[in-house]
Amino acid sequence: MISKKEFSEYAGSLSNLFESTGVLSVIPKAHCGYIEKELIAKDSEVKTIISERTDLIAKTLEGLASDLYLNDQISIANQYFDDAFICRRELVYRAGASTESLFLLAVDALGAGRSAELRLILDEFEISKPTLRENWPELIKESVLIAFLFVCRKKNGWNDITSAVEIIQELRKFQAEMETNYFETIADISLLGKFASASNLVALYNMAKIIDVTASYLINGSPADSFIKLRKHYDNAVEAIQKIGDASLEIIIDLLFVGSDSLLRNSIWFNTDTLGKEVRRLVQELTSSNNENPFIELWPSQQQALRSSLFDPAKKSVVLEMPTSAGKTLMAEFAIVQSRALNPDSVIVYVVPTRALVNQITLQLRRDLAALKIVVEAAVPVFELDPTEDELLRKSCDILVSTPEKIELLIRSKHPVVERLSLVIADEIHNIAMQGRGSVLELFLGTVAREKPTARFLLMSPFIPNAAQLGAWLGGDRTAPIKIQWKPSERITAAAFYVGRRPRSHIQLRMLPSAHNSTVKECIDVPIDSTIVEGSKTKSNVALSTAISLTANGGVLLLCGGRDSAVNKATKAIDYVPKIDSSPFLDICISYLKDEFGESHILPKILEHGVAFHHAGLSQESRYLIERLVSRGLIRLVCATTTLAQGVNFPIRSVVVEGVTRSTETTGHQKIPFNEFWNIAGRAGRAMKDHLGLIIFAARDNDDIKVYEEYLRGDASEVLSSILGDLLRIEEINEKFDLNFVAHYPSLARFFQYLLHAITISNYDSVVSEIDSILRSSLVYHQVGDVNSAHAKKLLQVARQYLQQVQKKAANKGFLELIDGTGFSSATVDYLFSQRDVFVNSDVWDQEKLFAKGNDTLTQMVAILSGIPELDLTRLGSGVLDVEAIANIIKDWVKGESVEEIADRYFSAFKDKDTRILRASQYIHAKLTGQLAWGMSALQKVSLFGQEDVKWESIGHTPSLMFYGVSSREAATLRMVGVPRMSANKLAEKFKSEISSKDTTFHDIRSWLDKVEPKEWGPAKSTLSGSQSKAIWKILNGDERSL
Amino acid sequence: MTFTIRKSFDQDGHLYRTYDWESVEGWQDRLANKLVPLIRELYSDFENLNKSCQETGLEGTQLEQFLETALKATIPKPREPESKTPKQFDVCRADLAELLALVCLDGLFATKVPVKNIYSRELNAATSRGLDILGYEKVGNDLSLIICEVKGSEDGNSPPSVVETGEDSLKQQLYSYVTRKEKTLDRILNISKRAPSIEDKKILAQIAMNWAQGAASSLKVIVCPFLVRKMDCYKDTDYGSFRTAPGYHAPAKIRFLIVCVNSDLNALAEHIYSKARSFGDK
Repeated sequence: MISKKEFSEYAGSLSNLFESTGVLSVIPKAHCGYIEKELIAKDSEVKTIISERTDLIAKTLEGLASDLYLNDQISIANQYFDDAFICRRELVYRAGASTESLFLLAVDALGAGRSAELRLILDEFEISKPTLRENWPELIKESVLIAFLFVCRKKNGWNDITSAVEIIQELRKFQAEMETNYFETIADISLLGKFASASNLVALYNMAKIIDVTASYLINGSPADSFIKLRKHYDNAVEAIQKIGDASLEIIIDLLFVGSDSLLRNSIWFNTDTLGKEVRRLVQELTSSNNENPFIELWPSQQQALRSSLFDPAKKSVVLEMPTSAGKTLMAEFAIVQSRALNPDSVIVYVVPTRALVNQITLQLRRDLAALKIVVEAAVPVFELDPTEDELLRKSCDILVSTPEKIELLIRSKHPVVERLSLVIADEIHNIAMQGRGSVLELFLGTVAREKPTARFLLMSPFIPNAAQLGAWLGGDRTAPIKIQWKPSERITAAAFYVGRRPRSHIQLRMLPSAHNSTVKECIDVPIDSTIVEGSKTKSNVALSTAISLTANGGVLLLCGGRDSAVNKATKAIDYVPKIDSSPFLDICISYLKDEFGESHILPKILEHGVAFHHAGLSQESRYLIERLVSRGLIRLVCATTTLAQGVNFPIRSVVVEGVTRSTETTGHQKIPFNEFWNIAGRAGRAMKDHLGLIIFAARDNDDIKVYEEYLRGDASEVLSSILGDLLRIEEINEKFDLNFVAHYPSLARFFQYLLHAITISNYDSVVSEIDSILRSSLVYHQVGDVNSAHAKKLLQVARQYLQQVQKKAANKGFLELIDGTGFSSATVDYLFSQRDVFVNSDVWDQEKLFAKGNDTLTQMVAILSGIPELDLTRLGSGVLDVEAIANIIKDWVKGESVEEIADRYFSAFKDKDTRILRASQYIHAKLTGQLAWGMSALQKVSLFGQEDVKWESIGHTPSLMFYGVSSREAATLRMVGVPRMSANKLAEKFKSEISSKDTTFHDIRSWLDKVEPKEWGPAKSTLSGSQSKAIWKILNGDERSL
Repeated sequence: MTFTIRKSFDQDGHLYRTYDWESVEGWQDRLANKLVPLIRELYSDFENLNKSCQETGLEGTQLEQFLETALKATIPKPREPESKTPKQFDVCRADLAELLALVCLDGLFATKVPVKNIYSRELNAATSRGLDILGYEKVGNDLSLIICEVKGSEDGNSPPSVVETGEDSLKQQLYSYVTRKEKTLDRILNISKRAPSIEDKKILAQIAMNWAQGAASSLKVIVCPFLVRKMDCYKDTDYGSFRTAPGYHAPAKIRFLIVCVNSDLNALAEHIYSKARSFGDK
């Protein structure tokens, strides 16, 4: 009898044995062979030769790994199953597949935690139910293996699993007849021979039973003793087969057990059965057969997260580092449900970086949590709070989704919706290091940690090397960093370059080693099917050619160095990419974009070819639609800037990179930060859709390849407070905290807002006396304290100095709250206050007057706002900051003029119409809606500060009109729930007369809209029909069922 | 020593040896004393098998009844003299040869056979049919895999037909173990899984890896035809082409062992198995 300890030693010794025998040298070759086969041009032959030893080595690995698995050495078994999987995969694709070889591949994949990839592979092979045949034992074995493959594939929801059950039922049906026939055929053999045949059947029947138990458990998570039953039938089968010494069948039995046991362990039931009643209710919903894509299993990443301290209520902060597409959102859903179960009356805040993500996450949570009657709402991700939205958010809300800026505003303004916070989920937490917005996120989290001591934190990111540090910042020693590296599909990095002289040149790929991908050491260069774009051999040209060439195998994201580059490449691409078949979804998106940009604009035109560009200059709606088109496979090539990293989470097969630098308006060319790069590149490879995710760097020559190799050697950098950067730059402590300071040290200026907020919560004296502890609750202090206490002292000194400067202001708490509520620095609010005289009359803010033609108040306001360092209004193209033109753009925008009209009117410096429209769009969406509306809101608050009888309900929504580009409060409300701009104006009157009241909730508005006939939606100044407009609203609300 | 070497024709690393089993009066009983405990160990009871059949929940199966009958064959019955079954197909006779091989390999070469098993030779579609003994020898860093196939023969011809005539001959069976690598690997892995000690497991894992590696490995493969011969039937030419053309099983080395017994093999099997089935006997 071998003890557990001895077995563990044996398991550990295997790696040395593998090393000494050199067996595993076949693995990289098998890996290469497979990759080459996946990528290679149709008319080329794979050069990697399949080793004749591959099958034997796979068998060896499987035999030893199953023994390890059966003896609880699962993590070591996992490595060897992974190696076996690489061998089998190459064999299945290159040497042919049989039922048995697919079975072996399936078990290897399950043992290696590659269930997502397995389902994709099995989907490519025709697996048919077994046909009746004379040889009864053979039929049972074949049936068992096929049923197992169905259970693994899980195609079309529950269909495959039901098929597996049916196969076993068929065996039962024919058993009596087939058995009689079989015994007749062996009537003449000896008694011992008969006994052996009977033993064989006993083993096979138990194998069938293993399938039965597995499929039943996957369907409904019962019976509870399925694991015991599984083991019993396995033991029975082995015992029977050992009587007759059929080693080959015994190995199959061992592997069947490993595979079935893994399937049970992967099932959503097994992983959630101890998480409480509410989580189980959610699981019931997620697995429901009514669900189009029911959850049947959890990815290894999710299982690992669940096994870690994700749901430990004693942990104040949990930091979950998990790659893109590895299933973070489901983990967040479980955390939400668990938190709600523990604190039924509390509110959970879900913070994401962009409006598009607010939309996506809200829709997903609303859909998944609907049956649990959890109300999910989104706060409009802007810096101000519209009075209508304020009212609506005071109604029922269990989960609030928004950007850090908006949630911070709600916290600062002590909005009731964030009073009873029990859990803060912050996605993409690495953004805390981002210049500008990072400090908002940091200070928001720090504020919650200080002011809501019972709230817990779940921070999520694909890259966060210092997870423990971030967790400790918010949770002290009650933190749990969880690091997960599992990815749903394999990813490789390669350089693309031209080989040969034109016109006969082609593109070749050379694998590049990378810390974040499969390392492919021995691959030869692989020629791919190539489309070469005309022009000189620049990186840009190679990138576009490669991107176009790769579109044949799935979506491609071409990461461009800037907006113009993205537009130019997409425009050029359509000369080489044929039009795609039209589809209702594509058609409706094209109609919408035509309406937004004009009939003849390039964007809707290139969409007909399945090509798009994506950058910050597009409206949120346009970006969202493009992202949905990519997700639905209707866009083959999207030329994008790094803005996409902040977009909705859509994976894509290939990411082609023009270079590892980018140009910005302020800093010129700079290297793309490693974390930011991987946040985009990490999208390569779609779960259940792509075998390989490709990250391809365009190269002209070997020198370029060397640059990429060097870049890839880097690793994700620690997520550091963006405030730290400012602090380190301060040379003199005797800075004056004025507008100039805000312009130079924006993050530090925001940090001071944090101090001001602390004063509004308590009082000046206590903040001064507790400054140490207040600073301690900030990440920047946490990090400088860790690195160098001199920096900590410097921060303390700067903070004290700032407090001295605002000492006088502190006496006026109302004014402090005003500053706090604007989201701007105290210096900026001082500046606005000094300019407010003209605007103190609330009549000035009447929308009819303010936006009227000929009224120059708005021009004056824009002129004042242009002096705010936190805003960057930039120029319109003429070289001069034309405040009057900006004011007129605002008026036209509010009036409902189209982007095309605005472009023609104010951007005529750009001769090319497409460029003109894009510039106008960029200005409106990046500056006007993003910044001017915020500034205008602050100016309004400052101007009317201290006045009584201000009719906020009639003038408070003025900034929202600018943000949404509509002319009435009701239209702005409709825009909040996703109604397209032109239809919002059209429906506003109807809305006002039929439903708008104090008691109306977001849910009421959506229900009302759902019932409004399409013809009522038809915008007056629009090429969109009513039904198209309504369909767009539905898409923006996540309802794509009719398309 | 119960074996006495009669002849040896070793050449080029191949071994061809013939041994005589002692034939002093009472030798059959001494041999029985040695083999009966082994026989009883190898033929375990079948009751668990019946139970596991019932646990599948299948109704109306004839298996239960079938097993009941089969249970009586726990330890095989020697062939009745009047039986129509050819002598060479007698299970006990075949098993006896295999048991002698185990004793011989252990005694003469210190071969380790981690898992001993008596396999049915009549199982339909048994994928690993044959391969009577799989063992290893480790001397320093040198590791050898022993693949042994066993036959008994009273054939007057030399070599006897079991050596190289037909698919079931020692020659063809051993050839198939060397060439059908995946089946042999299944066996190695299966024995590695079932090995009773860590030492055996490690060595068998190493053998499996080396076997998969093929020619590139340092593993020495020895095919071991083992022939039990009635003493007066033996001839020096019994080794057949194993000796004249050893390259047929290359790169494996040959270790052809012949053990001569002074008895008719069926009679000897009857003697020993009768004792084994008689549970009163020790």
